[in-house]
Amino acid sequence: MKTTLLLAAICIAVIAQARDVRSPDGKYAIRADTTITLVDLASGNTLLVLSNDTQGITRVEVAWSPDSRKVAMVEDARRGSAVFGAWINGSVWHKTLQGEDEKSIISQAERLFGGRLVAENRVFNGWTSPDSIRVKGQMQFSSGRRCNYEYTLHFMTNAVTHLDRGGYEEGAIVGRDHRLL
Amino acid sequence: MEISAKIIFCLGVLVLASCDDDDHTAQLLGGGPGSSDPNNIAAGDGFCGPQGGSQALGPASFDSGVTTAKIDTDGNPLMQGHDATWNANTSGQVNGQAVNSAQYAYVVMSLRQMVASNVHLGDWATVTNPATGQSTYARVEDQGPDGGIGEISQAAATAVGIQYASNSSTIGNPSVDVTAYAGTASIEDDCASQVASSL
Repeated sequence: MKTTLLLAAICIAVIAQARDVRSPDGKYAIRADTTITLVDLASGNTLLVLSNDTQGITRVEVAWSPDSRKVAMVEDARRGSAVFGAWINGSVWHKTLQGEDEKSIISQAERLFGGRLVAENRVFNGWTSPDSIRVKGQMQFSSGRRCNYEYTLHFMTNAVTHLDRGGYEEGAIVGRDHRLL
Repeated sequence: MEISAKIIFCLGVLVLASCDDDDHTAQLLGGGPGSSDPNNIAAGDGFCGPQGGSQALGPASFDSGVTTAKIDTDGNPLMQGHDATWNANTSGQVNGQAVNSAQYAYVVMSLRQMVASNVHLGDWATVTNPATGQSTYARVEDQGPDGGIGEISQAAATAVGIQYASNSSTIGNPSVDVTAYAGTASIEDDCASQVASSL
């Protein structure tokens, strides 16, 4: 039993190392395991639990800003995705979730392509400034048709109002300039 | 290559090591046994509620509000070829198998809704038909697109009197109200507390 536990612990460590995505300055990493955390590589301390449950998650993409002060993450599940963000203010890291700010582009696409939205996923397409990153996505509709779209995700860390139930600061990342491709 | 091999090896070891837990997990997951005949689902046909009833669930962590009902047929093999968006899998699983839409009362939430409200797969939910007042207990067993609300399984729809066609389109543009309860996945089923009635 002890041998099994030791083996499992070693395996988890190996897997964790393999799944670190380091910041450009080498100080931090996003670590994907049964949870997704932000870790301080010097101390090994977990600074933030970005996502506390990866059940049902099929893909995780992490994009650090060039100055290492912000990080964006997209989690894909079988039929949907969620975009997370984290940023450092002083020495404290904060976390946020993109809100449901895509309703107008979804409505527009549903009219054009028929039926209701049944699946979507997103990928990052490069930082355009220290505070904004391009996002590309694909939507699938009940008609069976698909379409691609894109928008820019802005970090607006002064706009934070309060925490949601999951502990995410609301309103700190906002999608703008949505357009169908 | 070497790291990949280690990861595959380790995942294999961890899967084998966790096999003992499968039976227990199976008891905890699922919205309770529904109709044994996916072709003939009857309202209130053997669905289970949580032990301790609604009091055990506490306050709702997520409430969709009254919204348009949509039917998710995923996991029901009989819907293949009938529903253009059908998929064999659901995000939630019982005993390593997809949750059958016809046999389990389940609801679909977007990933963002789940993270923001701290709701996880397997947590308890309720489905209410505001037109009739009928409600049923369910579990959160599938993840849908961002912004999507009101998507429920065939079993949940039938339990609250929502009708749908063979292609999964709802009949009569029905509304539904879905609530979910964070941290309740471990509350086991109590099949003595039948649902498909006012909670």
